Amino acid sequence: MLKILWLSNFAIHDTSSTVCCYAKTMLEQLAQLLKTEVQIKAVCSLASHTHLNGLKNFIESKQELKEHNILSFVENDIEYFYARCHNPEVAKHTLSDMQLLFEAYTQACDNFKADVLIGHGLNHFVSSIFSQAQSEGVKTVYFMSNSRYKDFSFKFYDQVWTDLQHIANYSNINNAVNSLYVGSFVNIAKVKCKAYEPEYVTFIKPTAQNGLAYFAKIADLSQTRFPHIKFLVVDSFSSFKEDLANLKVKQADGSFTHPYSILSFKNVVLCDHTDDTSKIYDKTKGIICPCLDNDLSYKEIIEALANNIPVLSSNLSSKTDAVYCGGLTLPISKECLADPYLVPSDEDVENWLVSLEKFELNYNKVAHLCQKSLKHFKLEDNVKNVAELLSVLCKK
Amino acid sequence: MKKKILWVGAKSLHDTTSIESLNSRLLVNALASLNDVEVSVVNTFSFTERESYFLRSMVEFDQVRASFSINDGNVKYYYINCSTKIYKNLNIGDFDGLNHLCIHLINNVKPDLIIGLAQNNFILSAIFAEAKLRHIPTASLVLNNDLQEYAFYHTDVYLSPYESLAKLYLQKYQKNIQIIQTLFDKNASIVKTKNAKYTVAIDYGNQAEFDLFINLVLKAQAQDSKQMFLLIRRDEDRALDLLDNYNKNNNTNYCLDDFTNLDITPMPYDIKELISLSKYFINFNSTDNLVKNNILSFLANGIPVLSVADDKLLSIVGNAGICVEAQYANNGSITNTDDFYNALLNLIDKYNEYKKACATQTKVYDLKNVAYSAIEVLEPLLAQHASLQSQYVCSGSLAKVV
Repeated sequence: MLKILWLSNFAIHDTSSTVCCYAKTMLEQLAQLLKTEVQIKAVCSLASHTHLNGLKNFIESKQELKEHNILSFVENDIEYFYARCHNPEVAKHTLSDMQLLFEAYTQACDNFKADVLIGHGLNHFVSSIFSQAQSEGVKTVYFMSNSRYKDFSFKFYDQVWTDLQHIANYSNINNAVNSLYVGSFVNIAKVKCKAYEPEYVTFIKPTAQNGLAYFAKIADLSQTRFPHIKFLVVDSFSSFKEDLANLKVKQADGSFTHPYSILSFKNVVLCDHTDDTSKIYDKTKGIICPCLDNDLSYKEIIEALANNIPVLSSNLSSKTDAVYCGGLTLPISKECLADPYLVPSDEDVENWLVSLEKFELNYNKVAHLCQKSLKHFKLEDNVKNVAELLSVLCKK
Repeated sequence: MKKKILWVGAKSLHDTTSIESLNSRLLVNALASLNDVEVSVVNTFSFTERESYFLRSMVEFDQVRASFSINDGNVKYYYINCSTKIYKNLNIGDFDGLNHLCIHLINNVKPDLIIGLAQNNFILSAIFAEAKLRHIPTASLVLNNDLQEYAFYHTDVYLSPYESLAKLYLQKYQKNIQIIQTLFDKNASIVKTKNAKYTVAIDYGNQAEFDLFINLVLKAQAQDSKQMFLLIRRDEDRALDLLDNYNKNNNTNYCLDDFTNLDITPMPYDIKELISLSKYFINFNSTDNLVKNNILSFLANGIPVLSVADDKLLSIVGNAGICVEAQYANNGSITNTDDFYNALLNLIDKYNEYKKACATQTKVYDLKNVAYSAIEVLEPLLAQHASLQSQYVCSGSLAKVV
């Protein structure tokens, strides 16, 4: 029997974090695929490494945690060990929080000789546990998603799994590790629209890296050019309202002005993070994703395509691969790539606006193209691939 | 060529209120006193209490820079400023910062050995894991009796001045701990000016011990002895609670003012203040590791000691005082108060004899001896010459030099 142990110092029930969503889906699908041949335990701290938004509902549903230091429960064939912590922000954890997490870890390890330890997070706690596990003969896997690590050599890990092909290549060369592309883990059944009433062009996770500056400029100009187009912004671990104030325009004398506030946009509707993303896609005509960072995951793109919603994205290599023919990819100006807070000029966004209009008109005629793009992505294949990797790694 | 040792600690070694820091610093100073050894220390700018800033002049570093270094004796101290000055409030971010500074220092200092204080945090095991990647030997000093198993991760050699701890962890985690000379510097604790008038006892917060002490004081009062007693509180209101309990158990109604021959004072930051007031020292505690150091401080200043008997204490006190076997009643209280009182009278009677014996008893507790006993254990590790090995180059957990 294959015994898998997950360890992270944040909660993988956090729906606002891509890593958590991927990891949870992967573990659940592994349990489903291998059934009795696998036993999975997960050790987490009840904290979010991004923002508490994604964890609110989970904490409310687990009121028992207020009484117990360590709460263990079984969900979808995975046994969870949650350690309580006094602060939901990972960076503010103190010695006693780490102590509790370690206790949860030892509790999970009791009578459970794990074959493989999978985890995420590079702080000293996680690295010391992984290095100890490795020296005790447990195989270790780092579950990397959403970023690249320029100066970390992953010496404590036998394998590094990433969701992006180019990061796998990068890590193999620059970090000299055994880095493998495992693909994305999105459970399409869970994000399928229930009552499709499209209304908005949607922008999810309004961070600077996700192209907030481009979005703001496009939304601003559309107010006069396409007054009929309405935008929906979905906050997750960042706040659209607050981040807008940081956007800047360079003046002739070299100084910067901050042109936007929430009042600048009459055509933008805001909505809070929701655990059930299908509600967002219910209202969505198309996804706009002017992402500035090639290393970010594209969970939203997969989810949108699964709902036959086209995507208007930047033409960074990872995004182009993901969008394929289910939408359009457009270039981003070099200045904006260098400084994510810089608002693009009118010329920069001109072809975005043209595409936006086309896109808005034809949103309901692209279902076959979306499905074609989605052929790249098959959850079952990714999970089978991971199961095979694990069986080879653990020689079982 | 000098061997380089890097000491890694979370709490500041200059914290004078923490016995761990005091002991660690003694070991560091002892190692640094050796000719062919160079010692660097890396720790956070955090203390048990805010008051224990060892130097007022160090306040200038407060929040000024992320990290700074100072020289103290022949030891170089690297400090990292944290989000707080109180050790127990340090957060993961602070420890990660310390971890990064350490890795940076491993690259720059190139130690032959990394040594630290075993504590219930993951910083030492994380740094030792890094050391293992680079094939640098590691050693840790064990001073606490509440260590979790992870405090022993990735460590080649464990040192401890306490045999009781060696026994404890041998049973608990099957760890072989090497015993080194008691971390005590006779010369540093000598007090020149003296105003000795008290018989001093330290309140460790144990009811039976407290009761015994009160009984002694009462007995002395009843017999009209001129002896003055001084009780040192380690906790703020603890002494009053204990007196309440005493009254309850014995159906008495004493308050602190009733004892004409007893003064009570809080624990001073420097034990020297206490020593200058003491003529005799009474110790009823055998469990606290602090006891050993306290008794030695008194003995080094020629103050005879009356103590409860136990293997460890018998060997420390030797001829320089009297150890009395405590007899316990079923409810945990100590019954043979008379034995203790007679021993105290004996001590007062032959004061000069015992005072002389103190000097011979503490002769061995010298910083040099600490250094020799520690280096004897560490020598095989230093002989690996880790800093000259090729693994050093770019084989740590960071791909590039920070």
